Amino acid sequence: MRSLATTEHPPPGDPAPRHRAALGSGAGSGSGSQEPEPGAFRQIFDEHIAAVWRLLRGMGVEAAQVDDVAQEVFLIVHDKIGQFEGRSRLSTWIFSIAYRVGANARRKVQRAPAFVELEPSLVGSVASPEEASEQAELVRELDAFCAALSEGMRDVFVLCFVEELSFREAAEVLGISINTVASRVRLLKTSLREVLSARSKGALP
Amino acid sequence: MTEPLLEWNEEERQALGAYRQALSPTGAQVKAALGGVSASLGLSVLDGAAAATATSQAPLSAVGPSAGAAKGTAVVLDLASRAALVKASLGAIVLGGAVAAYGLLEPLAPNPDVPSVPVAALSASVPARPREAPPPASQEPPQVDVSRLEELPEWPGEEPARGVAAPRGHAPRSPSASPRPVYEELGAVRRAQAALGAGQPEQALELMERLGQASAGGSLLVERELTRLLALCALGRRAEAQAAAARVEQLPGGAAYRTRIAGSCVGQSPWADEAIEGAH
Repeated sequence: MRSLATTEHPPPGDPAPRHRAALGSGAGSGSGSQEPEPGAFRQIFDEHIAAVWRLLRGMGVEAAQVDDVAQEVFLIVHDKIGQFEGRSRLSTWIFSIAYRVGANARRKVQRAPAFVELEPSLVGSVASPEEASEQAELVRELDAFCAALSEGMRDVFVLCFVEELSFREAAEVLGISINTVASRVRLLKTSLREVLSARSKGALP
Repeated sequence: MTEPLLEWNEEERQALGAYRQALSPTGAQVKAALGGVSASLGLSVLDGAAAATATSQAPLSAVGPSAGAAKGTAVVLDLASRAALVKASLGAIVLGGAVAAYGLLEPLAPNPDVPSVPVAALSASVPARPREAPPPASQEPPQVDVSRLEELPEWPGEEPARGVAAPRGHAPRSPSASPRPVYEELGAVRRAQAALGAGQPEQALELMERLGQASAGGSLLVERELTRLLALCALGRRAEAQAAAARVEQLPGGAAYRTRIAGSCVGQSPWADEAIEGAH
């Protein structure tokens, strides 16, 4: 077994050198007044927008809102980058901001999160129409699985299962204990395996 | 180090990979977000963009959660056109539904390394927060002064621009037309969106009609037409909305809104059906 993807983030507490320019001389000072250099901030945007977007979608922020919420996240990142002290990875710090903004956006919508809207292109890279259909169905099932979760469980799912944060990082983002994260992961993994197992059995002739 | 609980077999890995792909933004969505951030920061902070495929619908980071970080070049963006930036920003507004959606932040569990989120930063979908004075005009293309958005009147009913013949705001872009400054277009569409969000489609439609009368051309034709469409839907004028949908499709970049239109009252139009079917 192996993880879903190779993590290429820098070690915890050590922001990537390429980000140092973005942090400016005020990084670590906590002043919050240091604005990133434009090119460096653009790099931060490029490197994290997809993950932030997935986190927001995974949390259940409405599809129509994600664009605006993601923009807010990066405006805040721009404002606050000078306060980043390097005590966590930059990605974790950005996730923390995204989680807080997303949680508030989600709170404003007093109804069940919408299912993921699959764009045609999302299934266009697979080998055949049948495979595309199967993959789309799989995604719908996973989205239904997530939609049925409590917000707390769902947040752990997207952070640990989709974004592959460590327990410690997820705990930091969510403001909960590592043990709570681990407990939720254990339950989620069991439930996910049940879903996938049922799906596999259903696919048998 | 990977937690043992977060190791997966092949089936699980594929399932989560597919879900990750579905959650990832398309290139067009990233561009829209970038456009909004750029506009809010004065259109200078994110200058110097990478390559671009404005119409790309391919989801980003389909490989893994770190793909976006590891493959910065995969985020194909185009900032070559300032107008396109604002257009993308407006796309975000239109797709985002009601303007000023979030309101005030409420405190969450404290985290010492997480900055407190400024309330003001969440008060509008595309906040107009001008920063530093823009660089000299000789060095930069004309920039949109987003600060003026807040100064715009509630649409004064100005005279149509001379030489602009199209009466209803859905004429194709014409070099001879005298488009209004983009910030005025942006302001009008924002107000129309706010009116829609407030349950006042008549006002939204009127704003778009007046904008169309004043300026047949512009940078935000798709967003204007889409706003008209939604207002017409809200008013139960489905036939006109269908016509608007057809116009949106014909405009450059209009195809990006197929899914959005498919969810409107004209969702049964042939090309909307196609979009829906393609999505499942």
